[in-house]
Amino acid sequence: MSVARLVTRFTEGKRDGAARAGRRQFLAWLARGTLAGAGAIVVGQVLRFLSYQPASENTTIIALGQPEDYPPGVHYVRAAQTYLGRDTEGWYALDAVCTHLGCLVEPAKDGLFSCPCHGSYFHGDGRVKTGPATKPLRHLYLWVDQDGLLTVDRTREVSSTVRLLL
Amino acid sequence: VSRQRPNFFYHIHPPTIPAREARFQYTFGLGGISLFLFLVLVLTGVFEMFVYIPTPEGAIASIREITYVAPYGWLLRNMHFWAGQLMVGTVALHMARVVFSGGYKGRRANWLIGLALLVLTLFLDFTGYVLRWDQDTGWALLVGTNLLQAIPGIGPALYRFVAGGQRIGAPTLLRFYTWHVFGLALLAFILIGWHIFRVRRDGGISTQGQGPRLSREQLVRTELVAAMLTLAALVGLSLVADAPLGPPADATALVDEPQAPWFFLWVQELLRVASPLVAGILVPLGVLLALAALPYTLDRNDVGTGRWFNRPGRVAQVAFLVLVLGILMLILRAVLR
Repeated sequence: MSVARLVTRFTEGKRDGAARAGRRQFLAWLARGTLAGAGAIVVGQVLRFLSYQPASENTTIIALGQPEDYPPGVHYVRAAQTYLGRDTEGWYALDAVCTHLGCLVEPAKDGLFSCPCHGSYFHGDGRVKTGPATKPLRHLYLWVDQDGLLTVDRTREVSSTVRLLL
Repeated sequence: VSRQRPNFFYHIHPPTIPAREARFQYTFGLGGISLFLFLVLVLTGVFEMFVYIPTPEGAIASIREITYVAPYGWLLRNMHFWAGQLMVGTVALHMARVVFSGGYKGRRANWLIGLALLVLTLFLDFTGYVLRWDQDTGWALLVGTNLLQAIPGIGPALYRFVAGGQRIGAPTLLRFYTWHVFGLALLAFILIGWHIFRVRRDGGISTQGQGPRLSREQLVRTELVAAMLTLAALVGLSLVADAPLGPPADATALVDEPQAPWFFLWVQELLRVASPLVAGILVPLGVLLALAALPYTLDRNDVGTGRWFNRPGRVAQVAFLVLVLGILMLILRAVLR
């Protein structure tokens, strides 16, 4: 029975059996609809509450220390989860976070990096040597701040050929 | 059969049970032992909640307090740990028993509830593992949550929902704690009740026919003996082997061999060779779907109910065996690596 006919029957208020049955049906439908609607609203608001995210307080800009502290070579800087490298061309910062699933890569033989979780190997410049990783390690933006400290920004990626000259 | 009004706890079973299938040599008591281990886990878990502090700074310190300072805390924690490990085993063996003896024939809905309980058991174990917040569990958590990012579409939103933010931190630990002690535990409690209710409604353990029947009082006595033996084994194990606790989790420390919990080692092994979406999400989901489909596809014939290695179910039994052996081989490979 269509809603329009139910409403008509209800408002006309005929006292015959069919109208009474129609009215009962309409009220039952109305009750169910109200409950379902109220339930949907509550569930929706609960989902909104559950998807609330507290503000992130992470600092992505991290000082690595004085340039003099790092002789030529590759050094792991824990505070920044970064390999600070210094070669003949200059300084660079290589993100230690594996691009596969986020473990920290470790220095391996021949200047390679290896991931202890799933066995990926990376070249010294971050390129993938063997998988499962498919993306190269990120090179991070590196500069000297006003206090003379080497500093990286973990959110800013640069090309693997970029070097900081001091 | 007793003439008295039955005790409340007897209602878990129908008044009579098929005698042949109620024997320990038929079921090995695996379902009942799993239930008993769950009850032990609830009790020991509630006790641990009196001391455990679910914050990155408090977690390890409070676990050390439980282990080294609180009277009998070491036993409590060991029992909680080993009951959790054993439950993965007994639940899996219970599932194997049901497949090999055709127990799911004619009661496929309960097979699906049982599968949901297997998943809940693994999630409960994993969330509990994370509460240690030590080095090993830290990396397992990082990899496990990063896997979610690989799901197309909903991945990032799901990650934020699970981690409680853009990255792992104090909100993550609090969420895992809440899921572990309340959300998942409550769901498991409800599903266990439903699972057992369905067994009762279907007339007790699956049976192949109209054999002699046993009163539930006799069955409950057998179950009590099995529970006592399980408890003895659990306490014995907890006396000789300590639950592990590593150095505090540190997202900046280089770690030599981060390992997933043993029941997820097969996924870690697959992740070495396949993409995160395939190895970490699609394959585990596929395994679950294949298991769910067994009584709907390969083993639809109701003949052979309650018969170990029944002929109509052979194909399903072999498929199950291949699946389980595959998973076990991968776990073994990861352990030997």
